[in-house]
Amino acid sequence: MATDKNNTEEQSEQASQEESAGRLTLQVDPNSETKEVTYWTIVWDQFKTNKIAYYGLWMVIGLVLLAVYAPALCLEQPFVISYTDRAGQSVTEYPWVISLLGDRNLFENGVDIFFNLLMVLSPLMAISGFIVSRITATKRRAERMATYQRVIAGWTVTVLAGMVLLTLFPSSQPYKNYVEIYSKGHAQAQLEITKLRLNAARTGATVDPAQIKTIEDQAPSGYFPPIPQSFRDSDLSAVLAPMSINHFFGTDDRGRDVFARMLYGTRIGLTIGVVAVSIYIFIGIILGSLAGFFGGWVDVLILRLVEIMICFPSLILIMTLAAFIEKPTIFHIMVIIGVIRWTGTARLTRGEFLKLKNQEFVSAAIASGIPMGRVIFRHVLPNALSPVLVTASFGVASAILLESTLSFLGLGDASAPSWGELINIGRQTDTMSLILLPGLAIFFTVSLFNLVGEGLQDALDPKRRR
Amino acid sequence: MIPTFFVVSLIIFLVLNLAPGRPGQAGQQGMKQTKESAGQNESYRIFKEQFNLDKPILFNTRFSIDRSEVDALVQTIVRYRFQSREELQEAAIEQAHRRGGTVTVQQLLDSSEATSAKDAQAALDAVVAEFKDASSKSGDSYTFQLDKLPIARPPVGDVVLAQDEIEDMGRYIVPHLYDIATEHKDADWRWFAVQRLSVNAKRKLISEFSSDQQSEADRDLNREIDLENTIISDWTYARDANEEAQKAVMAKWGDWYKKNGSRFEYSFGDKVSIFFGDTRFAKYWGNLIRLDLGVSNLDRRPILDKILEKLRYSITLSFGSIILVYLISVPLGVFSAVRKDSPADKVLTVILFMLYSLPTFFVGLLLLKLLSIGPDYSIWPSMPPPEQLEATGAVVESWQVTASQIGVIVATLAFAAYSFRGMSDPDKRTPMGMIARGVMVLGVFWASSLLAQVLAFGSVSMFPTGGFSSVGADRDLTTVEHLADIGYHLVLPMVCLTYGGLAVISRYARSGLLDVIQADYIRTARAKGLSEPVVIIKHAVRNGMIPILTLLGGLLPTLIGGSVVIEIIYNIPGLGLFLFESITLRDYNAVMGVLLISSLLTLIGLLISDISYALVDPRISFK
Repeated sequence: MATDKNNTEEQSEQASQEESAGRLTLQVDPNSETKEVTYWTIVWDQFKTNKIAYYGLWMVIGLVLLAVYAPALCLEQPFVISYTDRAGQSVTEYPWVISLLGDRNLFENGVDIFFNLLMVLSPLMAISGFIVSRITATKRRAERMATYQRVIAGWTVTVLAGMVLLTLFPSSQPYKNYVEIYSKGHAQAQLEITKLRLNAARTGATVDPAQIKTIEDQAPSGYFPPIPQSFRDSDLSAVLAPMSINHFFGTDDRGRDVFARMLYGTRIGLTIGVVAVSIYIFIGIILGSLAGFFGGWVDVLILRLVEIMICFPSLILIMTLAAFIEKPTIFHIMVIIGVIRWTGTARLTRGEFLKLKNQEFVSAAIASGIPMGRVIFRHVLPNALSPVLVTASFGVASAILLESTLSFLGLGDASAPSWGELINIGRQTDTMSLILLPGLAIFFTVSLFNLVGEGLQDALDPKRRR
Repeated sequence: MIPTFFVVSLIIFLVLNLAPGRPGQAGQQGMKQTKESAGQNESYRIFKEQFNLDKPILFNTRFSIDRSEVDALVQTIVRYRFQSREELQEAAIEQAHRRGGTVTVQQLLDSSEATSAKDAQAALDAVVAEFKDASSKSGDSYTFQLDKLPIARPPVGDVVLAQDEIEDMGRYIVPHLYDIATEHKDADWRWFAVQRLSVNAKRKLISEFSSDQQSEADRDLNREIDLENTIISDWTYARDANEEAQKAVMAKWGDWYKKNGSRFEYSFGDKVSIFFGDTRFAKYWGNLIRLDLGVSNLDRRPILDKILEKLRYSITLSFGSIILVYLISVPLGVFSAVRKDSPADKVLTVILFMLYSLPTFFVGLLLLKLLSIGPDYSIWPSMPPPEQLEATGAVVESWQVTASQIGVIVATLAFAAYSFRGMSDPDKRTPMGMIARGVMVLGVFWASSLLAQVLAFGSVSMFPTGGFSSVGADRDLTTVEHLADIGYHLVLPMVCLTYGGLAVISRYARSGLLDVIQADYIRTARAKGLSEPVVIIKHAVRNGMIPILTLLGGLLPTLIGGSVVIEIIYNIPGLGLFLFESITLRDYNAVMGVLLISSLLTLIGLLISDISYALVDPRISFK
């Protein structure tokens, strides 16, 4: 099991499909050492032959890691800091780890809290994954997958419970500018040492090293993340600053660090993509499988619905909806995208069901008295999923594009750092770096997902198999 | 198609009407605050009637409204506004809040408008009587249990809503208002009811907001109604009017109600027609059937006129780019299918793939900044500011230009050498191939010199910075020049709209052709000895292109949506820009109109793609 949640989710998805598809394939000898060949192992091998898509997948995983571990890379809170406060008392604080989950003033957005929770839990996830993999190493594949599924389900429940808890009991910390405390304290110490030296030089005495050491000890000490920049605090002294050592990508029109905003924008982009697509894949699969399996008036009804939804130019409808919500958050936007764009998935699933429903294994399942719901969702659906997987991958890309378009038009979530919003600022202030950098970030992310989708399409298509 | 369109309009209507925040109200919000003048109030009422916002959304049940509901609304307003006794009570309660629960008669005298100790005592007694459980009396001071005191004044928001609601109820609450005006024990209630009666009892004119639809008989009737309305609106009295004046006004109302009271008793048929008919949706659809999309909130012009005016820009853009997409992508797809897995195919695939992933708004912005703003606008921070650049003309002639020229030459030569390699062999040399390679080399030369210019100067001004045509073009230019001018303005927008679709369609064209090319009849055609172009173009392409015709239906909504962004960036006054402006200004009828028209366009596009499907594929027929 990998260290990262999305990674494990990916595996789980694969694992469950592998298991369900595995029933259809012959297993020569369950105890033999040779690799079991299932539909999904073939697809995976095929996918690996497409080098670009394969590395694209790894880069997607890297992007997810970047999103998850963004605070470890870039946050204005120190991991640990000890300093003398105004009352003259020496205090040691751990603001970084506290701010991750317990500071609503800093991370107000649900998406950020979710990713922070993942980051905090990720070491435990990695350890549990490692242990499970060692325990089940000698077991058969099916058993191994079942164990993995259980572990993943457990972690999913844990993360969800954590999210619920954090939403129900929000806590916040008083605002402290640790960067300022740290730098001011150091400057103060330097000043005092210089004074001491100056006095000593004036009187001709030697400076006591112990004295210097006490001053240095009293100066604040601490460790910051590599880039101690905030993604939301404005620095009005540096509005639209050009690229520099302090601000890698400069600052925006309110003096916020663009690099930090782009880094945290990865979280927004990925979440929008994945969640919106999950919503519409969910709706599309259910409606599509009902239409394809039952046919008749259900089919007619759902096809009419699809036809009606197709009539709306989706960007226009989404724009209108987003604009008429008084204060749209990214969750609104995800739901809007999800509710509107399900038609493609529904038609695809319907088509697959039409192909599959007359096959023998379906008739056998129905004949053996398995309830309809189980036949649809456990027997037919797993076999109809592969084209949906491709559309999901392309869908993530187009959802990211849609969200950035909305933010570009100023109709998105105003509080979330979104790439599209940065481009909008760049357009309004005529700053080329603010157009180019976020634009390239969108381009990069979108093409990664498109690449993976293309690779999957090739891997799943038996005609193109080499 | 019609039922689909009906449901589409229903969905659009529901979405906009059920969206949080009352549409159409944003612009009027300011004037709907507490102390508006009568004139403003009247104009807001007219606004609501004009846009049918005073009606319930889908079903109207106001004919059976309960007296208690009306009472609650009136109470909210009356309590909020102007009352002698309740004002005193409020003062007492406010005092109590401030003094920590105790209030004396003297304090009340000092702070309130009560003129005598007796008044104040009476007011306090009234408060105590009203909140008996919550207070206790000792001497002339009263102790209130603060947490049990009701809030003296209803919040402003509630009052505004209540006023709105009474206004919206219109004629349906006239009987209740009349009852209140004649019977209620509180003078302020009676006064307020008469005030409302003089507005709510007015009859609606026929086709009030579109005088061109009135017939002569309608006009006569309208004159009559108007006369009655004018008379009714005078039947009010001042709040401090004496008994006689009040009685005189009430007598008029009594006569009127005796004569007209039957108007407010509804038979079952009336109720059904009100239930379905007197609603926002029914009115909307009634207007829609007459092709009336309402008027704009901003300038009161009919939405349909505005949309039709904007439509030609959008149609030019989206249909133009659809034609361009198909014109370019089909040959591209055929080319890369025929040359499957050749270097040219691979390069094309990569380029198209990259184009597919580029966000439209990003490309649009970039092209605008790079190719149309011009050299006085330097995008590179290292470049000297434009004044300097101009003053020292030498800068332009400096190493940057030399370097870029060398770069252009090197790039062109390298590409030429690469593409013409192996061409010395006369067997491989075909006229078409040579021409194509020459065109490609020229293209590379052009593109690299453009790039070099952009790199050297920051930006070039090849294209206009926006708009659909030059200012005054339709007046000053001849038709041909005008068309050329429009074309010149549309180059960049068209490029932005085209490239995305290009990637998709040409991929489909490629795979469609690849599927066909392996078919038996193609082998047969080749075996017959037909030449390769004939095989490909006559036999393969016609069949292979059928799948991409279905994509037309899907491409249209994407293009209409995409043109929103492009129109905003390039400031083309089309449907998209209109929609965006209407959205930001909350012009509710305009947004509905644009949504409707754009889905109608999509429907038409789907229809066209179905028909063309049948035209191209003889196996399909719509019998």
